[in-house]
Amino acid sequence: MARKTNLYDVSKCIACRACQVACKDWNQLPAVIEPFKGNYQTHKDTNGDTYTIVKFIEHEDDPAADVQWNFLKYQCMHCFEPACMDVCPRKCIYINDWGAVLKDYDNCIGCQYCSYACPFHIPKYRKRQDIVTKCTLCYERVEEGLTPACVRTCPTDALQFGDRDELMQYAEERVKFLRVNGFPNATIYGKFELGGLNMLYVLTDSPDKFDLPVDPKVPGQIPFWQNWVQPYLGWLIPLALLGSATSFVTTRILANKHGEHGEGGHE
Amino acid sequence: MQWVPEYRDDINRVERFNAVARITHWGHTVTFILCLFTGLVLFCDGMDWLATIFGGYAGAGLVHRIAAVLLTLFIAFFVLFDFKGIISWVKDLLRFGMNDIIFVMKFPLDFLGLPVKMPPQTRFNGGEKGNSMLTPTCVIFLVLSGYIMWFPAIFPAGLVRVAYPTHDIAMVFATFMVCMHGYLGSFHPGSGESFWGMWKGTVREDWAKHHHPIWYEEAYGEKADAEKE
Amino acid sequence: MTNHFIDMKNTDCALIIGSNTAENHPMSFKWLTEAREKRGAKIINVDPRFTRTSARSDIYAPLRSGTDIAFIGGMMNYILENKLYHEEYLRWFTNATFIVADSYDFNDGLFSGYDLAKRKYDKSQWAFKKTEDDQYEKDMTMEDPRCVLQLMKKHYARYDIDTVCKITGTPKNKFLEVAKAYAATGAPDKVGTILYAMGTTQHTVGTENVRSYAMLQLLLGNIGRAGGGVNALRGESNVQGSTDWALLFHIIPGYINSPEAQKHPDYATFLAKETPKTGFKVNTPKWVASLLKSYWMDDDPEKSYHYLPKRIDGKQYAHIALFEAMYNKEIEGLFIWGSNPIVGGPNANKEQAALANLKWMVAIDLWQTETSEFWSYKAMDRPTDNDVYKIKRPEEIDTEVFFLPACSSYEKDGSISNSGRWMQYRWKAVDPVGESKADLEIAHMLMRRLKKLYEGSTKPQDEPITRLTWDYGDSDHPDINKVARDINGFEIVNGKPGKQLLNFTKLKDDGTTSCAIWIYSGCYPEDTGNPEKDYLARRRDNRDVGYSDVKPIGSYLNWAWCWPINRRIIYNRCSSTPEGQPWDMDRVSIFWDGDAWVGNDIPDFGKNKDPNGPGGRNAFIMRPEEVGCLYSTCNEGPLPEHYEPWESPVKNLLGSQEFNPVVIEWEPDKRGTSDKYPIVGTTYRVTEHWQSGVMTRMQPWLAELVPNVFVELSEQLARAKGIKNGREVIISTTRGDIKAVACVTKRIKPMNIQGQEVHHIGVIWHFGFNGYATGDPANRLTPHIGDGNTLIPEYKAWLCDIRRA
Repeated sequence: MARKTNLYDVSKCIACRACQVACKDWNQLPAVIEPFKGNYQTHKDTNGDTYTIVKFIEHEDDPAADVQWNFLKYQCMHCFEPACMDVCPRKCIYINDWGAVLKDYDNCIGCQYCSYACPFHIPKYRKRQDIVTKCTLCYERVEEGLTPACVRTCPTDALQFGDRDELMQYAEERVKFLRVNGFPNATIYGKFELGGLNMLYVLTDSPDKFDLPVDPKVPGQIPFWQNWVQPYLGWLIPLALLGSATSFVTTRILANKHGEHGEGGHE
Repeated sequence: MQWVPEYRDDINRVERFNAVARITHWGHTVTFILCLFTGLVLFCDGMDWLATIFGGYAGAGLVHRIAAVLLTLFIAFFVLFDFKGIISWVKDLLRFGMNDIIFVMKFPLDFLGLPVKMPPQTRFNGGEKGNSMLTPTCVIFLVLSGYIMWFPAIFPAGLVRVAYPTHDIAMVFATFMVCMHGYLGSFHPGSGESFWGMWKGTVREDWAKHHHPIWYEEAYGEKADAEKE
Repeated sequence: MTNHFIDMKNTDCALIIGSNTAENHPMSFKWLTEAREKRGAKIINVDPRFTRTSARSDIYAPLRSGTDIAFIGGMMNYILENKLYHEEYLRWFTNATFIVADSYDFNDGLFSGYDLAKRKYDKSQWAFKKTEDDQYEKDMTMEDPRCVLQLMKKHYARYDIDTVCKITGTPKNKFLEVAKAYAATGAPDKVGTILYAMGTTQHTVGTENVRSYAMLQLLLGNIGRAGGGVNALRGESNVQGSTDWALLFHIIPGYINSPEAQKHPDYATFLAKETPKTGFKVNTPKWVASLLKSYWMDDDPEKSYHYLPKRIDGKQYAHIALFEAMYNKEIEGLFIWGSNPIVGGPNANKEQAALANLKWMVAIDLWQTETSEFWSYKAMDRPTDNDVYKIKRPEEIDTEVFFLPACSSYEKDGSISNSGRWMQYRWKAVDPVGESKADLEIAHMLMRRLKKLYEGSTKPQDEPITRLTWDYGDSDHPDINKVARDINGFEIVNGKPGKQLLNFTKLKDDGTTSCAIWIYSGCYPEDTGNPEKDYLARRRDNRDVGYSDVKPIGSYLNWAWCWPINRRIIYNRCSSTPEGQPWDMDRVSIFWDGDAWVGNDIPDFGKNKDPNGPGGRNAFIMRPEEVGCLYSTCNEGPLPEHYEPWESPVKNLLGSQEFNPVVIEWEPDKRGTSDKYPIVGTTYRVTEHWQSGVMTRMQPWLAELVPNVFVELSEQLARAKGIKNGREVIISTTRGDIKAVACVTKRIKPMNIQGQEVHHIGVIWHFGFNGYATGDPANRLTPHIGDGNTLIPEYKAWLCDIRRA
């Protein structure tokens, strides 16, 4: 099945945060009311009951020009090669046939390894259920022919959902348009990052202006752990058991042959 | 068939481990095994049947954490009540020398029950020295990384990220050592007598003389007696 | 709105001033974004704060709150000086050519005819010259020094860029950028739209602010055209409807002046005085007669006119006036219906004190509003000891309060009218919670019980109730379709409702038709027994069909219904040249095909009126002179003039008249001065909360988005006052103090006003003491002073001080 993607065009986003509410509504997540901290942003980061947030970032590079107030919808990026999936000890994270990275919560043990393996630090611990949660790209809606809740509610069509190739084409046109219309640094995010993300961003400026990692990387120890340690090292344990069993047998057989080992040994 | 060497109180016995060391050891044995099995439930596929014993994954997680706290407390107990013992233990480890290397090299043969002539050993033989170094190190890593994973919010993300593989690697090595140690310290005909050293605190004097001649000489031999006097 | 939301996609340039559309009308940005994407339209935002709208605009220019006229005056001056106006449009569709009487004069901030004692103008001095045969005198070359265009030129020549920027605090380059970009829409094939909201209207010069926008639009030829217009973005989903339905005191339904006791002693006098001699409003008698028939079907309008309540001549009954009256114990009882004045009203401390003087109060709302609990201990909480209005303690309050639970829009059927004048039906989704009732049901139940109470009374003073026609069914649940049919109007046959009327052109002044509001006539033109089809507000055809082979412009004529007669863009005669051909083939609204006006919209003009015939170019049919008003008769004068807000940090640079000369000063002693209160304050909303917050602060998900009342201030001011971002501060005015959380931001900068540094702060006002998100109402700071025409309160420009809590 072809990949389906969320596209977020920052140049059309008015940061109304309807997506944030629609997400809570559809997923029936409780409000996490934190006091106002001097920024419109509700939470510093996503949390166990908040799959998506809109970030508000102020920049003033050139005092003569206008201040830049950048908005960014932030949620799971649904990586092509998700680090969370690689590290999950319960193997409860999987990619479905159109590219959504999903979790089987019945098997999640709340260890949070995925949370820390994620280059975007997206999956978050939900204490009340002892699981780690994140955006599901509303797969259950999509499979019924709907679009994700956030996309459905977006008043300015800053969010779009559909075939990744088509949206990629559209994103490229948008970036071309923006580059000649006052945003020379406009760029696509998610095309090559981490080998591709199933969440495309049309940014009006470089990713660092949106608090996105310019070149996201899966933490180095993860592939090492994943490819070498985990598959092979574990065999040491059966090896020890097998060795002990062998010894148990051979020592006793040899003891019969050589006579009582008993008190002496190392004769 | 004989499992553990027979306990012989008709033969003269000498003290090998004091009460604090023994309580700590067995405390750790229980808590480690609890942690190990609950951990395996959480981390391995196909262990679901084990989860049932602990009341499901949530129960296993709870037992894992309780056992981990107890395990930590046993370390504290050992440090508080037998600090001297730790010092002498460390001192003995630092005597790791040629004899120990030869012991370790010859050990596989002994392991399988072949007759080998071993060089004289101190209180802990070469293999035990290795175990004494590796297992506590692994446990310390397990404890530290465990708490970091338990309370990730208060630690830097980089540290948390390292904590997960650390916990796993330490677990594998510790379990490997624990298996070997468990076997050698009980069922192995040669070194099985040391089981009683940890269980009752004493070992057969002749076994001590034979397996740990240097220690025996220093602790109970003529020299030691002379010093006492 | 002269136009509608979808029409924004047709614009070449949108000037958003006095409005934070992105936040408060998010849907508008769907269409503005489309205009930018498909037409390369520019979006300009002029606002004291850099808002989410600014973030999505191409050009942002700051201005000091309350200086819109200076800003727009400067733009008009720029346009007039550089001849960037749309000349043909001006010549034919506006009063630019009219010659003004010699009595008109302007001197040092005042027009001729000012009476200081009454604080009023004699408007007759501003009249147009007329020829002997009672025609307006005109100069089609627009060069006569007494013609409107030349007078305007002279008036606004004083608004040069330097002066303007000294007043508004806008950097000159930014002002020029805005002026240039927007003036470009003066080209005949370009159209610009102005979007405004409460940032424009809620000033002592609110009406004149809007007037100045209208003039700018007329100058550039942007009214009546797709992608243009003066577009009031309403502050609430049905404000348009409530205004149409005369929720204001000075009108009766359909924008007809409400009667005054002395001025309009009887029906005939009323009609004589309120019916102009020319323009479409000559039909006023038909509208009034039908309205009276719809209220009292069994009585003649001559008689039932006397049932209408009359105003005491010249007396004010607007929000501030009502609360002043309550404060002075002139009013005994109050229905507070879907309103929360101790959060949303100006000078909320005083309004709270006023409520305690009532004998009884009925509050009707979805939740227990702050106002419905004004008597509680919670309502007494103040951050400081400063208690200007002596708020009473619960034990000192004798007001009896009743609370009637209302249900939400999802729990009832009925229509609302949006900013674009669309009457849209909403179907009920779920049953009301508990015993809550729809507003209509509550009104209906009340009236039924009142009628029952008065049953059998023969007293003449009871006749307005006993004679009232109230035929909406025999149960407590009213028949909505009957109400809708009443709105549309019908023939009266033998004292009984007859056939539905096609629209208001079928109304009669002899009492043989009934119509509850003439402008909505046509929404239910036929009664075939199938309301889904008959009631046009229920139409949901989302195909944008163009006329013949003309490109469609997003009129969606079969989607819902729009007053008047489903006309989506009013004054659309202006969308064509004087000769009747479209100005721009890309955005054809209506045009003359040789026999009739046809196109993508319903003509706002005689359907078969030849553009070259008599009156064929009189596009503004609702005006007596049938042209657009560059020169008008607002209370403040014929041309908008800049006056400082009532509380201003500086002197008026353009004249010695400091503030609006015609406003009523309710509390002269509460006028803050810049020595004690040097900072300009303004209030506003955020997209996350709704009005006084009753509907949003009670919702955890919305409370989560903006959990506290915050005040935005510049980094410079924060540094000077030792205020840290995210910490609490106290803001004070002469009316009281509030506590808020500081939002120190780069988005607000100190302004250079007449050489001095002026700081600006902004507070969100949605907060009260109930709900998941609570905080002090910012309106405890705002003054009791209103606009010179409408009395809309000045929420947007006042003086304050700020300190760490």
